[in-house]
Amino acid sequence: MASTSGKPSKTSQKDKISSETPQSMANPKKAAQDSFKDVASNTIDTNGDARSSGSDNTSTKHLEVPEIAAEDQFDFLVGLLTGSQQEEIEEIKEKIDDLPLFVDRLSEALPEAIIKRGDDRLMIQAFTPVVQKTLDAATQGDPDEFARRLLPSIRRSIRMIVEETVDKVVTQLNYSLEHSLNIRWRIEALQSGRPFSEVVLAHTLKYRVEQVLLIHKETGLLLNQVNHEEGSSEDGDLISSMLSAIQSFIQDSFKVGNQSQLENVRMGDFELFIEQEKDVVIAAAVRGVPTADLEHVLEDATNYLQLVFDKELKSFDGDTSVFEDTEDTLRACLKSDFEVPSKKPNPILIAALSALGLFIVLSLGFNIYRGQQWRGYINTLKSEAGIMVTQENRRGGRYEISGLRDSYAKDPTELLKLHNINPQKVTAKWEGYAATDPILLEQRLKATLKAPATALISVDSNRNVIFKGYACENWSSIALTLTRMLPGVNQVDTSAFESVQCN
Amino acid sequence: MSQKKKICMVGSYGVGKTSLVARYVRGIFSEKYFSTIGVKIDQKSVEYKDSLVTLILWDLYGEDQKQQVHMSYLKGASGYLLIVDPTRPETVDVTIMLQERITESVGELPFIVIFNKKDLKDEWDMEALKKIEDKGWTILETSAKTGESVEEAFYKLTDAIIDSD
Ligand SMILES: Nc1nc2c(ncn2[C@@H]2O[C@H](COP(=O)(O)OP(=O)(O)O)[C@@H](O)[C@H]2O)c(=O)[nH]1
Ligand SMILES: [Mg+2]
Repeated sequence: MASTSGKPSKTSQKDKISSETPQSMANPKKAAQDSFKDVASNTIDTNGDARSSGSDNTSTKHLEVPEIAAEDQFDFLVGLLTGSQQEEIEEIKEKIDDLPLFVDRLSEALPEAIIKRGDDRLMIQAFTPVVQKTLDAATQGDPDEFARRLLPSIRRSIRMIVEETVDKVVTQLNYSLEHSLNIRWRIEALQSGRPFSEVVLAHTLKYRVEQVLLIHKETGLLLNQVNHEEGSSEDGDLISSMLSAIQSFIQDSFKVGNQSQLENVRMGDFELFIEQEKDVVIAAAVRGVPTADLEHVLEDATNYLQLVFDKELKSFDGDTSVFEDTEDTLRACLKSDFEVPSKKPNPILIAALSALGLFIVLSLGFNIYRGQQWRGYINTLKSEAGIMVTQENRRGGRYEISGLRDSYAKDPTELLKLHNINPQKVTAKWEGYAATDPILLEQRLKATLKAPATALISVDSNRNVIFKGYACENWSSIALTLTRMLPGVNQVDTSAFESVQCN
Repeated sequence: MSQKKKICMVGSYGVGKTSLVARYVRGIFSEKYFSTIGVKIDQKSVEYKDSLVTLILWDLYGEDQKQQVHMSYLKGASGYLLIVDPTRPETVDVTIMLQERITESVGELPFIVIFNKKDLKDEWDMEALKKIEDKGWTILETSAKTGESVEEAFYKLTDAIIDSD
């Protein structure tokens, strides 16, 4: 195409230029550009000569050619041909050589160029490794940052997947519930000896694509296949060729030409749905009666594969390994649809779900209520004199509490009743201790000292014990000694107290 | 690497095409299909050098007064066996005529001429066969009845096809 490898002889170049049609000048022009580099300096000289001599005698320009050395003839010819455009060429050359300028120009054209060829498989092939490496670099650099950027879009797809799954589960649930109650089918299963699930399937399966074959149109050879059941069927190769033969037979026998293409073929329990493109055919073996969208799915898949594998399909020589990549597209064709008799959810399901919901709400509410009761009880205990809660716990409707309790403090079990808590559900462990609380201190003093009616004992908020009135000396000496020894007592005030001699 | 090749069995009626294929292949289609559309499809895997080649064999319904071989069945074929029954000299002419029609409609493809029914070699019409021998085509003698050289025939064709790729 372009100049032959190595350095072509200049004479032959000249011949070429003179014999080429203007349309194919593009290539020699390129060759001429290439040769600018090595002959640039003397080209200008020769051209100058040529021009000056040319202006003397324009009509005999060509006669001067033989006078120039054979090696320079080509350069001369270039000068002659380009003549007045020499300056323009110099300008263009400058523009190309000026890198920043060139980059500027290129950047203007680049987006459009990419858009123009964006669908091109070659373009995608060229970009894929670059994008991959960029992604690699991005993930290696700062994975968190990368994840943060991706998250919004991922979140959306995750939500979609979750919604879809929930939708499916509800449908499935609805469906199983609906059918597990179908007595007629139960009886049918019993009578026929088939498993119940099979009977349900037979009654509710609208259709299912059991197998999808990807067929090379020209040879009828199987390129790839996917099956609903695990494992591959061995008949794919034969079915593919048979379809191809039937297609040829129809076209030959009825002279219908390429326009009439096979669409459906009945084969045993299956109907083969056939979708054709220029070089490729998809055949889907369908059980049952499919909905209209199946045909669209098959059509899209066929169009897509023709587009993406165009080159491979045209150069196919029997090696099917390149078509392993069609698997995902073919899998997408393995569709099925079940009959869900009522689009409305089953009333029993609704009732069951409502009951379940109500139960959950109630038990949740009850739990919260019980929790609040217990909190209230604990708070009361904490504010109660002579009671110190060290541990408390509520789990599964049972309560545990432990702490210290002054024997003069209120009874925690009595307090349970005030809070509507069943004492039987409570395990309590109280250790005894002497509280220093003024009120309890007073109670304890009164109970221990057994004061006569003439003597009054009180404890103020600073835990000072105040004796008032009078009493026999034999009592008051013991009482005062004991009081001073009692833990928690601050001072003993006897200013308003009189100790008298008694007989 | 595994490869798939479409191969056609071509020849006059009763030369032994179906019998040759039937010796070692597996088919799933009923005879009804076969007689309706005029082609029987079977498959056979051949170990060729280090790889496995799956041959999809198209057994084309015979060429006789009533039925012509559909040339469109040869579309996309990698090669074919051209079968002759040397006990019936008229099949020789049909064979030569078929070969002409094939090159005309699908171009030149690797093929091997099979002189079948070797077990009946006493009854062969050597005079008639000379017309084919003069063509310089590759010829192999087989017997579908005894199985002699049947494997070899398919292997040689595979070899010729892969050589020409
Ligand atoms: N003796 C003998 N008979 C054969 C041989 N091959 C085929 N036949 C017989 O020839 C007849 C036609 O064979 P068939 O395979 O149906 O021929 P087709 O029309 O070319 O398919 C049948 O009766 C076969 O049994 C062979 O190698 N030897
Ligand atoms: Mg036959």
